[in-house]
Amino acid sequence: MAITSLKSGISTRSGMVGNTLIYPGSYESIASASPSAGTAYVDFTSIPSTYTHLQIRAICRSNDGSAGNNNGIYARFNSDSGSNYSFHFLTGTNAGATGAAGLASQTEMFINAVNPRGGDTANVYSANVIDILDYANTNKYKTVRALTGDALNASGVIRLFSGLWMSATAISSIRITMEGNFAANSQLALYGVN
Amino acid sequence: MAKTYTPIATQKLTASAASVTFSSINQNYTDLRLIFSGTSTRDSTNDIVYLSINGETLGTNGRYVNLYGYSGSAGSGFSGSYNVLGIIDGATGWQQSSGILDVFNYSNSTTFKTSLARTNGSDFVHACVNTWTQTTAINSIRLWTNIGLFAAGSTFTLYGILKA
Repeated sequence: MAITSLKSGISTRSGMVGNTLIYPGSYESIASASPSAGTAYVDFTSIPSTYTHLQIRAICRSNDGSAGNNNGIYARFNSDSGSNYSFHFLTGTNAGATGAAGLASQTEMFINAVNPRGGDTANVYSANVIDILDYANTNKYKTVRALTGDALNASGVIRLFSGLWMSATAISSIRITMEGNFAANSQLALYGVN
Repeated sequence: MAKTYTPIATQKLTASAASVTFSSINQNYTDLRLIFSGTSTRDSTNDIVYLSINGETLGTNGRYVNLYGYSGSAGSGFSGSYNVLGIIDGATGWQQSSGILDVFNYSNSTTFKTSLARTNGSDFVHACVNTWTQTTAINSIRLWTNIGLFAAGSTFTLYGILKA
């Protein structure tokens, strides 16, 4: 597949060194949210079906007053609360060991297992890039991938997620829920990618 | 919907260089994304690419947690001393590395700054999360190699992403 040059507009077949620079395809901002402290969830609704993929980019922190870098973020699509979600993840930590886990038949999709909480060092937020692939396709279940984490301190974690929503329905709404509610200055933005 | 993912600046090295700096970064975006393709001049051994923000040196305000696979084994770790982009290939053949760095909410003056980075090459894959423990807006990013230099032909492009 050709890649269009950033500088010249000329198409090339590779973004590798020495070739002309790559230029992204259409990438559009759809909606964003800056939940106030204590907000339980953020809804993205009426999502247009005109893109190929969706991407959510977010920085998050839990409003839970305890310390400990372990509150999660969950996603639910089209208000489906059935046991139609599964996920797996690979984890990196200070311990030097990697770990992996997963669950099936869940009522929502776990997409980020670590967020600083109210009792943790101030001003630290998790980073999250969540890709929802082929979200408008009505012939397949929906796959999600995410890279998330924070380096709060030695308890910091990085996680690579994969999730599945077992529905062939096009995704038109997404609810992102924070365990312990969102802290102030959390920010979530939804983009459409073609 | 508003198109975004706007190229801010690009650098293609015509000679090997110890570092690459993007300075006076436009403050009008929500996130930054830096895309890298290239190698280090360090013989046949992989090299580390460090990330310095606003001119800081190592050991100041950077922390990271990483996760990697390398020559058949996997590992992870934490450093309380610096930020990294990741690992790149040494320039002994046709091997090339590529990397993506996402810097979140870089222009706000309220939160510490967090970034996610991924690099991959001929015999490794690496991901990391960085926290820069300052609330100051980021106006410059410098990438530099641990031992070798960035090889001629390496390319670096910085994009701005703006939320609705």
